[in-house]
Amino acid sequence: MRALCWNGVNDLSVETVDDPKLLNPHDVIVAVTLTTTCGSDLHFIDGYLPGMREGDVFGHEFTGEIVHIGPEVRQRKVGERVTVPSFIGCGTCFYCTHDMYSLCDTTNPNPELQQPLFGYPTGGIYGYTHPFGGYQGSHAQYVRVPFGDVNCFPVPEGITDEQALFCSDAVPTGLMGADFCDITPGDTVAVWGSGGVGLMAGHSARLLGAGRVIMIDRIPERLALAREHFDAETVDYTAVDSVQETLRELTGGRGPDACIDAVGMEGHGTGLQQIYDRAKQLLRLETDRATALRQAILACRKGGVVSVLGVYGLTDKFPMGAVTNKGLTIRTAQQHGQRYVPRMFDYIQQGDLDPSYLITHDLPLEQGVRGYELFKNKSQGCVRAVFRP
Amino acid sequence: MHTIDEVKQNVTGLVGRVVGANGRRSSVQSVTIAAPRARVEQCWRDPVRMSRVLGDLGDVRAVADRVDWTFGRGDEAVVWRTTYVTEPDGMGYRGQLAGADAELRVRFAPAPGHLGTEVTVWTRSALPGPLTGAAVYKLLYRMRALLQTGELPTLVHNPSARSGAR
Repeated sequence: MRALCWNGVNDLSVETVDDPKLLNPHDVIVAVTLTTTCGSDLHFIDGYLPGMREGDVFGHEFTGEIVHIGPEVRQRKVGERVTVPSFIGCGTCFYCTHDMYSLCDTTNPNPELQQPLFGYPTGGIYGYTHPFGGYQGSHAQYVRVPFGDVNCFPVPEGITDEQALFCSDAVPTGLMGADFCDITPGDTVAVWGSGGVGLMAGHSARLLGAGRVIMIDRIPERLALAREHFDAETVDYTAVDSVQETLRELTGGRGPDACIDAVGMEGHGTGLQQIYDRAKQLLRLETDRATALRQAILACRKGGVVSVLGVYGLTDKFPMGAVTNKGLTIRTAQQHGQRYVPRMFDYIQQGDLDPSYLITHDLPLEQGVRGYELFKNKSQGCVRAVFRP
Repeated sequence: MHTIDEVKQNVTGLVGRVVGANGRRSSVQSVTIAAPRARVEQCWRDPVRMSRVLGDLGDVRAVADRVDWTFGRGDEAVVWRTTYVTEPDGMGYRGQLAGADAELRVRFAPAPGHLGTEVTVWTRSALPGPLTGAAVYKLLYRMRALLQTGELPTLVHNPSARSGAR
């Protein structure tokens, strides 16, 4: 089959690789219909996140059709159109039975690589470094999905492939981030980052009852999407002296009730702090440019919630004093997609959410390298480049 | 060698890395398995199941009154000939490895709240790799996966553009 492979830092290529096989009795094989770029891929493409191996097939957000099922698969059938959350759950461990699927206790084939980093390993994920399992990713014609009954969700009639695609990661991540905010009607929620996840977080905050959603980014067309699709207010951080002061002013001196960081370790900003972070990151003295996270903590109202969706490694100058003294609650996780898929399908079927507007570039998989160039450089208005294997 | 291979080598690599005379290492790893003690203990006593749990780390065979553990493959394989030991709160295996006493002790305890069985493995060995922390943790993780789901997480035949993986 054809697949998009990581060969090294900023070195990708479309290659011919072996087809995946059913290995365990609960496996299914999915023929990928659509698979999408994701901002978190850039962390290892740019070399900030270690743990990839030359030749790895990457990609973790996809939809497709089941073409093979293992002998113990009971609920899924060949021919079903499915969406598959990016983290792999087993459905039976403590974490899966408590709806925390990305923390699954049994699906990471390389747990010994993560234990020294985190104390306890996460579940496996498709195409996202070997400490996170080393599974083959979705930028391919076929992908093996362990525990098919747990991880494959049949797409209801009326939901398009383009909509189902983002139910794999961008929507559940955004919805989870908004869910973490414990929104009460009328709350103000600020979201850093207007990429796919940030837009879905802002949109979800609106669906959960936020009275105001304020999006912070520097890309005009992305901020325009937020205004158009869920009536957000927007802040171009390059056009203001201080994001914190701007938010304070916009909220009558109180600050947002909740702040969502949908940026992560490669944040951009202005001023000396950004220069300092860039220099330290280039010298590998820190892994993160945590601009958004610091701003979110400082901007959030006292007693508010900071919901962290961005991916981080080792963060320098984390303002713990502000967290404690302001009585903030920080909530974060990799996405527990299986928890949210039914609710996402309902939103889409009811017409409350249509994530397909994230697609700005619809390309064949053979143009995967170009797709990532467009996505990484945010050129031609790229929000998400998607691939059709 | 790729850094990931190096880490894995530290887990599975064997020969030529024996530490000095005072280098006997001990490690403790623990997991909670959602299964009754009898089922977990049965797995530890069953060479066939233990071989499956070990996977690439090696295999286990019952030979007369011994239990032989083979770590690694081919020329690098090291055999640990052990005797089985029963202890009040668990079980263990003891034998010479790399010219020094080595042991693996397993303690079982009921986990709170019907979570199953706490399984703690204490190892002591002069040979870095098979009986040290990372390898023991992987073994426990895989045992938990097998007992709770009936499957082992695997990357066998994981498609990639690497020639060695195809």
